[in-house]
Formats: sequence, C-alpha cells, structure tokens
Amino acid sequence: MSHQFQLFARPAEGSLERILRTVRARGFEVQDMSVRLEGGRYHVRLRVGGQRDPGMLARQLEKLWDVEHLAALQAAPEAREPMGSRVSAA
Amino acid sequence: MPADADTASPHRSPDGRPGNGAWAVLEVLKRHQVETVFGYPGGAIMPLYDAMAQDASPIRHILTRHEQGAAFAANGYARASGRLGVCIATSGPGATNLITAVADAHMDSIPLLVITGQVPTSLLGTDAFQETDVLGLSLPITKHSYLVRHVGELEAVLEEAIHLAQEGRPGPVWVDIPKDVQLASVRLSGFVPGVKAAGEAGTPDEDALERAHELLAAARRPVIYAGGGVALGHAVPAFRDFVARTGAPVVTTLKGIGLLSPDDPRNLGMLGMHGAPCANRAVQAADLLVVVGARFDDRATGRLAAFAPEAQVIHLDVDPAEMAKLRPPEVALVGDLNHLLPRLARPLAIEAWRDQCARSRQTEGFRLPPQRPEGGFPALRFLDALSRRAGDQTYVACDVGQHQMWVAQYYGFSHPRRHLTSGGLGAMGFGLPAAIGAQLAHPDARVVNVSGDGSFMMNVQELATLGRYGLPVKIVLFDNQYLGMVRQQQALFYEGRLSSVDLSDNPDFVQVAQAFGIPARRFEGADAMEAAIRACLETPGPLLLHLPIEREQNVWPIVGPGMSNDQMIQEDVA
Repeated sequence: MSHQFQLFARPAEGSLERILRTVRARGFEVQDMSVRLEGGRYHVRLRVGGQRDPGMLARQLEKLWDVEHLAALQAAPEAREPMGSRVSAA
Repeated sequence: MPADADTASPHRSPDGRPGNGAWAVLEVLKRHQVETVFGYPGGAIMPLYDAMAQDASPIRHILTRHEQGAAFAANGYARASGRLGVCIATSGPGATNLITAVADAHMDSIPLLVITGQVPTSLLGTDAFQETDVLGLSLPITKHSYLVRHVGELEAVLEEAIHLAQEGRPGPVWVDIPKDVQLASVRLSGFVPGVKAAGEAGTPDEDALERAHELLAAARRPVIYAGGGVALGHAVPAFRDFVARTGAPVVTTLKGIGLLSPDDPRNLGMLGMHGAPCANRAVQAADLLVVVGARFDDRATGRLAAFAPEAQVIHLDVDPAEMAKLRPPEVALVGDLNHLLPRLARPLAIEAWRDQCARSRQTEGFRLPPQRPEGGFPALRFLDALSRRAGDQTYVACDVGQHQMWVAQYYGFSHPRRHLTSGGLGAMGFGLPAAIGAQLAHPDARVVNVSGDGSFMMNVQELATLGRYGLPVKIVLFDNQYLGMVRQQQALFYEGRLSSVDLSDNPDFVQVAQAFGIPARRFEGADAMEAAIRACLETPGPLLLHLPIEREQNVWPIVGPGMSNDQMIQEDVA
C-alpha cells in the first residue's frame, strides 16, 4: 500500500539522509521522491510503500529535528489515530 | 551568524588567550556548567586537547583507555546525575569506537553530547587518514548530529546540541568538528538561540484527559505500567503521588525499577521476559493499562498480540512518536509527566483488585531459591543481602547478561537513578565505565559494578582508569566461565546445543585486577557470602570481588522467544 507525504525540512547536512533512513528503518520503501530547495528549505514530496501504519511513520518523520512540517497527502484507511494531543516538530 | 569569525586561524587571540574554535567549545561547555568530560585524544582533536592544556580554569577531563570507555563513562555520569554527559574523541577509529555507547544512549534516552575531531575541511571526502563519515555513521544512533564546516556556526551548533540532548525525550547529540574549524579564530557572541523544544507538548488535550478519567473510573483491574521515562522526565515524585492517589498496582520495566520502594505492596515488580510472575499475571488480567514513560519494548511485552489482551490503554509520554508505535492506545496523552500525572490522580474504587494483586505479590513475587550446598557462591542471596545493607544511596551499574537480570530481580532499588543498566541496547561492557561515570558524578556515594565474566572482559582496560583516578568503585564479578545467558537460551531453546559460550579459559581475574593496581579478593562457596558483603561494604578504595558461581545457574522465570508473558517457564528444566 502506498502513502504520500509532503514535508518541509531545514537544508542541513544529512537531513535528506535522515528522512530516507527513517523511511527504510521503520519498514517502508521509497516509491517516489522529489526534492526542491524553496525559500531556504527543502520541500520534499514522498511516496512510500509498506504494510505498517503510516501514522507511525509520520510521527517518526515529524520527530526529526530538521523536519519543520509534515502533512500526509493520502489518508491511510487502516491507520488508527489515538485520541489525544499531537505535537508538531515545527 | 551568532559569532564573528575569520579563517586566519591565529591559535591565540591578541590578548594571549586561546580564541579559536577549540577554545569556543570549552567556553560553551562551561556556560552550561559542564564540570567533567570523558575522552581520549588523537590527531584531529588535538586542538581541543591543546585548548584544555592552556585553560586556566579547566573542565575536568577523565582519560579513559578506550573511546568506548569514555562514552560509557559519560553515559553513566548522565544516568546517575540526570545531567548532560560529555565525551570526546578523535576522527576515524576514535569516532567509530564511540558508537556502541552512543547507540546505548540513544536506545535508553540518555542526554549525551558527543564531540569528535574530523579531518580538515579541505580533506573531507578524500579518504584522508583517519577520515570516516561520522555524520553518516551517527544518523541512526543519535537524536541529532552536526558536521561543523565553518567556525562561525560553532557556537550556535553547540548551544543547539546541548539543548537538544536534554529537552523533551533526551538523547545523544553528536558534533563533528574538523581540525581547521577548531583552529580557526572566533569570537563568542554569548548568543543563546531560542530553540523550540521538539517534545514540547503544550497544554494537554482536555477531551483526552476527560476520556482518561472515564476509563479510570470504569476500570476494575487497572495496572500502571511504568518505565524509564518517569525518571528521565524528573517525574518520580509526581509518579509516586499518582500511585498513592490512585492506589493502582504498578509493574515496571527494567528501567523503571526503583520507582516504588521494593517493599511497597502496590509494587508488583518488573514485568516481561524475566519479570515477576505476579507482575506478568496482573498485566495479562488487566482491563486498563496506564502506561507511563514506557514504550512496549518486546522484552517487556513478550508476544505483543497477546500482551494485556483485555486491557484498554492510556499512554502518557513526552514523545509523540511513541504513541501507537506498537500498541494503539485508547487515549494518548503527550507531554511532561509532571503536568499530566497530577491531572489524572484520583482515588479509584478497586479494593478487590488491589487485594488480589497484593496476595499475588506474596505468592508469586521473586523468591530466593534454596541454596544448594554444592552450588557455588550464592549470587542471588548476595545481591539481596547487599541491597539491604548497602543503603539507599548506593549506585549499581550492571553489565549485560544473567547477572543483570539477577540484579533487576533481587536488588531492591530506592530510585531508578541508582540502577544503571543497558536496557534497550543490552551492551556488554557497559558496567565498569558506567560505574566510573557514576562515581565521578557522586564522589561520596557508594558505587558497585555488578558484572559477569563475559561482560567484564569487554572493557577490562578501564581498570586502569579506576586506578588512575583512585575511584572507590567495587566490582562484583560473578564468574560462571560461560556466556551464561546465551548458554541458558541454547540449553532451553536450541535443544542443548552449546555453541561458543565456554569461557573456561578466563584469566585469573584477581591477578588481572592486581596487575592494574586494583586490590582484588576471591570468595568461594556459600560460606563466603558474609565475608564478601563485608569486604564490599567496608573496604576503602576500589576492590574487585571475584565470585565463582555455579556454572549452569539460570535466570528464572523466562518467557521464550515468540511466547506471551503468561507462558513463563519457571522451573529449571535445562
């Protein structure tokens, strides 16, 4: 199953590698990715495949210090969001 | 830019004081009240060591005998003190030797600042002597990491790194500094960036709090499942008040041991693979789990699908990424436990359940087995007796293996910070350098390293550090001449085929210690226990106690691979 994310990240050294290794290490594979440097930050569009909860991956990506904003572009049907407070890394 | 910089690289500023990047590192550390650092010098970090040599009011530098020892000592310092640990090494092998201890800090959320030298920027990417891609190596094992290419960035990077290591969910942050950046001239601005906390949770969700209250009020069999996040969040008093107000039974992870007194009737002990039967049974029967600063680690849960099958979950943690990572909670409360726990603390009408758990604690808590006359030195009884006589202010740093579980089961801790253990990574070799760090954090406290013959050899060189600084650490070395935990699992789960676990060619540990200038004594047999305890408690200075134990002693109970926590093996069938 595919999931799409859009995120903005500081263009710090290693920030794209962190994003990619988080995707891999959390059990997903990159299916498509585009990166543009816009206004002094990376604008990343990412499509990943995997059987795990994409909400889990989103939270792990948001946790990266370089990631300033993340949005899921495609809702995941099986994702179960717990009720409660959410925190953005922005 | 927060600092003025040029690349003229005068080693000294016009007034004669070092004014280069290396000097700036020390100044920023002092700004944050760093008093002790652990390290090992080498080519690419020499400017920093030179700055230390010229510093009129130097930070205390502890020279270990291996970079891994330095990082584990800083790790132990941070665990025992709750403060930032700092370790320093050179590029290449210096940096790679740090990795195990940094990974350990990452797994256990320990605030660590890692500083390494790097080859000069002009040589980066050329496969230069002692060049490794430290930033790349650091990515999976740090909270964040930096390669500082310009001295003008150095102050802001260090400020951010120190902040990040300690804020929210703590962790290691690595700053890699090329040699020319260390040598470049810089003037500090004193500017402290206003860094927003990544784990800052703001105001708790009121709807979620209300839902949590509803679940708590409706629960008939609630259990509090608490982990290392409580002490890391400096929330032990708030946690204890929460338990007192609710009266709910408590199980803890390995890192949560000490959150409640071992004698507290609500304390059911450690859960999981080697947990107390009463703890595992309570969780399996619970209709509500209140998870506080814990993360559903597989060693705690056993087979996740069968873990607490009847329970709804309220999960409290500072890290939003822990929510639904493994077990989706009915209510997620993200934030500072000091703020969240008081909002949930109300008395619960669960007298029957509380009584049931208290009875179970009496019958299915950890029990000392009968001592067999031929059974060698009584390790479990020794740990039980030592904990009763050593006092609440004793710090115990374990290594990894059977002895680690025996400490968790039989040593009664009064606070999680007294128990230094490599929980997530399970890194053999942790214990001795971590004990050194704890002793330096608490010079007047009693510090004991409990080790096994396998683990001890992994950082045995740090006996030299112990001797150099005259630290009164006591080393309790249980020697079964096996990699005991691996042997036990081969015996139980691999049809008894023992493979590469025999250590019967161990050196004479008493002679080894003495060769490093550390006094050492051997205590053999059950009758030697009292003398060993007295030696441990009464000997001034460092001491190694070599304690040969029964070779095939096991850790009980044990939950086998892929099994659920209600399938504990409790009998010695190996």
